[in-house]
Amino acid sequence: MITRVLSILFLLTATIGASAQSLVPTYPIVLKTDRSSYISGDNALYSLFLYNGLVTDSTPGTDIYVDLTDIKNRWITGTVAKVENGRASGMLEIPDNLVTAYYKIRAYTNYPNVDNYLCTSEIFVVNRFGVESETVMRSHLSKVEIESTNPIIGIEKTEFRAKEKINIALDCPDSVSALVRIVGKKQWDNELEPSFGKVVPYTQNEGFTSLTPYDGILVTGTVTDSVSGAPIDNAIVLISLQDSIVRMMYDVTDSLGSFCVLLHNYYGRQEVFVSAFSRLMEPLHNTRITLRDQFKYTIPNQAELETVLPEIDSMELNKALIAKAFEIQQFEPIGIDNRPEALVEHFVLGEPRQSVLTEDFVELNDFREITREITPFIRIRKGKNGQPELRLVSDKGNIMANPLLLVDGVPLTDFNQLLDKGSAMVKQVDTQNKPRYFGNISFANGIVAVWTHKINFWENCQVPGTYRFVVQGFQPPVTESVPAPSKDRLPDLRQTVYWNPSVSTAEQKSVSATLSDETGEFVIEFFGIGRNGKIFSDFKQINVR
Amino acid sequence: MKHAIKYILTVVCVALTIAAGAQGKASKKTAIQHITGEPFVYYYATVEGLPFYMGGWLMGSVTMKSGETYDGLQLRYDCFKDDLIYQNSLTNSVIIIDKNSISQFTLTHLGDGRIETFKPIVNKNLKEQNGRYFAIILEDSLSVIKKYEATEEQYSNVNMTEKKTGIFAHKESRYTWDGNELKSVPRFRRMLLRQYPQHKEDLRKFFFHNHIRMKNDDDVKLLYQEINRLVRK
Repeated sequence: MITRVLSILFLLTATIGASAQSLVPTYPIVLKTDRSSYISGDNALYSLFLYNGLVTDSTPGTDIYVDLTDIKNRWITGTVAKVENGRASGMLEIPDNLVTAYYKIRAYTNYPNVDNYLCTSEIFVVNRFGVESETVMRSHLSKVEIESTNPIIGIEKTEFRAKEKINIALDCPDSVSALVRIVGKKQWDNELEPSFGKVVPYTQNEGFTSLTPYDGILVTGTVTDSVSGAPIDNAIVLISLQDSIVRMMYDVTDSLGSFCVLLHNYYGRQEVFVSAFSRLMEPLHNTRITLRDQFKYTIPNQAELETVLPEIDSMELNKALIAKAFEIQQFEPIGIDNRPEALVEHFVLGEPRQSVLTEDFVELNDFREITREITPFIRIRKGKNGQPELRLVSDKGNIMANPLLLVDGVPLTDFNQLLDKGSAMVKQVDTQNKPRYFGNISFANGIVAVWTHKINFWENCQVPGTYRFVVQGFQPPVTESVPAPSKDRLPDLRQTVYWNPSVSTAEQKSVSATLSDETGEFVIEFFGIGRNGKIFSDFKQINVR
Repeated sequence: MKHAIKYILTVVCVALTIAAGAQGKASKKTAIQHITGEPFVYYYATVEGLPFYMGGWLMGSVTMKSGETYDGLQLRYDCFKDDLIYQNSLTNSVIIIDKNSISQFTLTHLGDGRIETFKPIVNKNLKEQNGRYFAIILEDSLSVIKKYEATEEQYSNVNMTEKKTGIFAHKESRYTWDGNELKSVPRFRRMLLRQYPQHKEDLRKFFFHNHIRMKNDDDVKLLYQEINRLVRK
């Protein structure tokens, strides 16, 4: 009997173990950029390969995040690219104001329930106005081992004329999606090999297991007591943005004081205000709110960086400047991603019952005067602790004490901060004297919304218990582009002559490209990941006269 | 031996309970939603009948303008005031959802499980300035939409025992919507043919082959699919 029970238990454990294992696939990434150095204001094309062991096609068709950071991992810009058949590609616009230095491009997945991966590559950016950083540093990157599976690039000759059409035969025993590019020899020589690494930005015990891959900014953190440091359970955390509309989200903390809010469809850098309230919507002043780092990278120490002086092809800089000056289009879009980019408005306030514009009245010196003269439905009275309190009059004449006060869309828990603001700053006062519901929380005493002329109330305002954070992420969807010959008899100054990040070797046995006006040595590269999970690469050198 | 088996089974049961508990905890985050609205106030005590679509609470989903979708909600559509009402069992509250926050909502019929989609439509010819909810029969360049309406028909003699002053009368009407103009769907075939003189023969044949009845939603949908196709040609 006991043998039977034990064998059942063994089978059960084995099944659970197997199913648990199937939930944790791995997605290492390999990142390639079209060149190794760019001019500020240029576009960097990138190609990403994901593989999970042997098969590249089984990676989920979802998103991969690509960031441009400085050498110390500080975020500059980024995009989000769609993964299809284990591949993704796109374009990063390098800001015009970057100083001459090395920069990192990092790509990472953010899938639920699995380990997530990161890979980093470095590029050198030359400021086109000659602005240099104090020291030019680059980090020591780990390199990927390239194990060639004997792909063969076939070309008829090695000597070409400028603007000549070139046919490249591709012979690869493995049917995969690969990258073919033609770049200048100097660029190719300067290039680091692509690298890959691993990072686990989130763990399953943080409660994200029920979330699908998200499209927006994920704000996660904890609320603790500012004195004892103990986590605060069951607190309502309001996350808002300073704006001319109410954009507010909330979460309720768990026993560890943790909260997690997804700012749906938000992209880029956002400044958010976070404040905690009790279940009765009373502000919790003695709290400490900390945000978890969305992206667990470490700032490299000095020993991990090396000072280098890269070779800059000065001609290339001049050509890029000419291209910019004559607005020569060097790229053409090949696919447009139509995912939404809308910012979210939450109708927390509803249709205001009363709305007053201060400019319709005489100049009033402070908020007390505003309430006395032009907003009779708002009253200021002395509270139990001797401090002034805000009160709202309902349609039936009842007094609603301590309504939620929003200033430029952000909850203001210390009313004293508003008292000295007159009509020179306050533009509009809206009130909602009915209870309002927002998801599972309610504002039973109504809402007062104050809007300033310049939406700048919070620039110089510090309120205990209200924390301000800059969150970054997750970037606009990318429009994929490829280098294109210039039109209208303008000089063709493409720095990357050919870039095709999705050559399917099963269907395509050759590709063709037109060379640019550039002369010199060029390299044709054929790069990809085979079905066996191994990286292959082949290259041929050509001369253009 | 018996004790050993009991012990092992208890351990297994405890382990499964913990696993189930952990799953429940993980799904806690899905309970967070951002539906906004104001409290619903019961207003129809003096009127006989109910002003709601299909009589009462139905399961459904709401898609907000911000893109968030919430499924498995207890909803009812007030055809008299044109309000979508939501029962939040977590807070034990009944809420009128802000119309300007809704992109669309669906209601699942109790009997056949059919799902009907509603969208708020804003048009200057409507008496509701914020727009009105219409059920979507066909979504195309020329859409077909349906209005559910409840009106109060006053009793000539007030029933003093039950203190009812009138009764709710429900009616449906179909419209076409091209994004700008709202037009009634003709009640008769000949009226429709007059609207499309250039496709008269094609439509006549279509009527004949498909036995189109202008009072049936499915038939009207099929008919306007054909009209959209003919217009595009």
